[in-house]
Amino acid sequence: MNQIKDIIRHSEHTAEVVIESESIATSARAGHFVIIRFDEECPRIPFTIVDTDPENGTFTIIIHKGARLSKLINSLEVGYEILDLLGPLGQALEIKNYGTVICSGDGAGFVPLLPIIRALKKAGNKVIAILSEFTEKTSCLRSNAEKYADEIILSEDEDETIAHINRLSSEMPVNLVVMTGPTHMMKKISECTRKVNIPTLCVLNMVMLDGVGLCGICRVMVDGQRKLTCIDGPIFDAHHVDFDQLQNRQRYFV
Amino acid sequence: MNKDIISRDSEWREELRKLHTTKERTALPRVVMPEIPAAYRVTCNDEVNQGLSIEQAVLEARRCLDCPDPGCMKGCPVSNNIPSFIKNIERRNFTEALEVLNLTTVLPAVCGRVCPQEKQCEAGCIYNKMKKPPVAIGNLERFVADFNREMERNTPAAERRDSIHTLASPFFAGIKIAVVGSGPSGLAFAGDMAKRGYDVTIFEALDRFGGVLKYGIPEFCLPNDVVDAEIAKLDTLGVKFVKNAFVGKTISYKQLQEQGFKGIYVATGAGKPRFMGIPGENLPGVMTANEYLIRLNLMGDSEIYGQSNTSLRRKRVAVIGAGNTAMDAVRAARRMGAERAMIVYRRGEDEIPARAEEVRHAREEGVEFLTLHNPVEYLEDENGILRAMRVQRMELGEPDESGRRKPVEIPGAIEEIEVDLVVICVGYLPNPPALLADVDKSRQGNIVVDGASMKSSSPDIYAGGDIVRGAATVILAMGDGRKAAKSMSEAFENIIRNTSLL
Repeated sequence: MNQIKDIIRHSEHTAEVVIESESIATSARAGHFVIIRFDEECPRIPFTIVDTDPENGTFTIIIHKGARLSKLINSLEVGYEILDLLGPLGQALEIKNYGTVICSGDGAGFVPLLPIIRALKKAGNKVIAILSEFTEKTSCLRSNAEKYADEIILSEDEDETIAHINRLSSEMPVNLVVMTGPTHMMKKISECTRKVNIPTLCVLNMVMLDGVGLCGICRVMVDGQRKLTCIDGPIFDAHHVDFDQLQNRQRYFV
Repeated sequence: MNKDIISRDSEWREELRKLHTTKERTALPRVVMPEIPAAYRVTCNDEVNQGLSIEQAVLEARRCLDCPDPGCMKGCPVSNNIPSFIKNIERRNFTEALEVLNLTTVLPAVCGRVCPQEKQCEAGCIYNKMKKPPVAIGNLERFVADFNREMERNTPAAERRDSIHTLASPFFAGIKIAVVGSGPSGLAFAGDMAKRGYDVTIFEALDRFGGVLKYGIPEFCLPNDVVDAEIAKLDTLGVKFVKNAFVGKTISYKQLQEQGFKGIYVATGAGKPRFMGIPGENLPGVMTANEYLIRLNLMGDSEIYGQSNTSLRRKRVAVIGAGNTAMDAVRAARRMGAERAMIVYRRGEDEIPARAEEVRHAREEGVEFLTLHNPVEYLEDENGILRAMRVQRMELGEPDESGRRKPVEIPGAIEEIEVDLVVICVGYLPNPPALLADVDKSRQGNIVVDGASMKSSSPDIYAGGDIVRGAATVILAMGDGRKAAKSMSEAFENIIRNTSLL
């Protein structure tokens, strides 16, 4: 149970890990995540479910060194039995044909967007991916996104991303923006899309302890209501998220 | 089982009663539970109460007058046969004492430690009428459980005597029962059903079993190995345990029914933290009691993800609320090196809901009690991190609907107290999600059940513990579990009876 079936090491920083779990492979949808505790010493860590293979009963996560997990990445091997695996958790994204969707993310923060890009593409959307702070460390993300996005735009920073969104929305109707990345960046993009009236979703990446709604560490104010990323999220309407408070809280962790 | 060990009319018991006069018995002072000194215990996580010695337990058991109509039993939510287990202690038959307890409880070592005895069994003790301290029932229950656990540990498995008597009926072995949640209510239910012979499986969302007994109650009140030993007893009764299964989320109730579970007991608890809704509750430095206690109890000192526990070592810690969890958190804060550890509570001293012993322990350990103080705002420093709290002084007014005197604001009496960490512990909501299609729930999200049978509005689904009553106590949760087991089993017995008539 929960055996690691394959590890694709893209660099010393990033590894795709394929894990056996029939129930997750068949029930996970874009937006869902898992909580994994690799061994007795390991805390409970949330990972986006990046891909599923219902036929082989596996799903894929991407572990990135950014989360102080480099030692862990190096220690994992094929055949390893993961001690604790809980999922799929969270609320999935509603997948339908929105029209044209921009998916914007930065660096390793792009991981949660991969299943969303794929699902949106399959549902008939035109998907434009904007990747910022792109380096060789995250090149695997690009290759993952390229298979499904109609267009990939590389961006230096959030200002450039915003310029791209403004340009695209003047050239064509953009029906939805889905974004991940650092909070300050999501805040800026959210302000931009609010002005041009594009519905915008953010996929939050928060520290979690239990992932089942007990600790409240992943709380976020959405439209004045206190929401838990683990239970109500990780996807929220960005135009209603209190990013200032979120950013303030996040500085305290990781 | 030998009826003799519980019957008040048995020969040994009558002789035991004659051994000492009532005057002799009531002249004995209540045995004091040995504790490690406060100055030492704030430096470690050692259990504060050390437990009674054999001689202390026997002496305390002698105080019990073996009343013909024992008031203590009426106060016990699971109806433990208190005089019978105590008299077995007095005659030094400690294993028989455990056999008596095992008839009604699966967690004697836990309940002996965390039950509010002063409001339950001990409140009904005849000694109260004599203006004397009641028999230390909780301490004796703990003694019985601990003594037998240690004995078992030192006895090879083959030589162990079975102290749990089952009423197992072969009719029930093929009936699969699912228990959702491995806290005290689920464990009690599972134990009772397994004793009756059902095929019981417990599903737990977290990576370990015990629910709040594990993630909530700290080591110095309830050591984890004590909990594990009680859970191991259920294992020997044949109960199956499945972890990492979040029923209603990663596996649905419908799937459980499709897997052949004929009865489901929902005991998912109330662990979703409440907030007060005042400014500053989302500042860094303000956390829930669950976050604080889960970090301490389960996370160890891991550095690879999130914040390590070193960041919990703050000098000035305020815990908001005065329930048992608040006491656990504030006492943990002292152990984490807080120079000022405060309970901030809007009502008065007499209204503190926590167990009296926990409050006393907290005081001995140097915890400050700011009663009649109500936080109104948390303030940030220039970096946006918690700096202080503003508290409104209160005074007691007329009694409210709960019968407690209502705290009223003293106009203008607001003060500012510098703090580095605030731990919010002002109550809990039912755990999400309870995705049960045809189960009626209250506005708050509690499952509505028939109080006598613990049966929900959906056939075959029963519920109990905090998911039904809101945050309460371990023993009330256990009581619900036992009640649900009884009525669910009766329902199956009826079905079997009716089927065989055909």
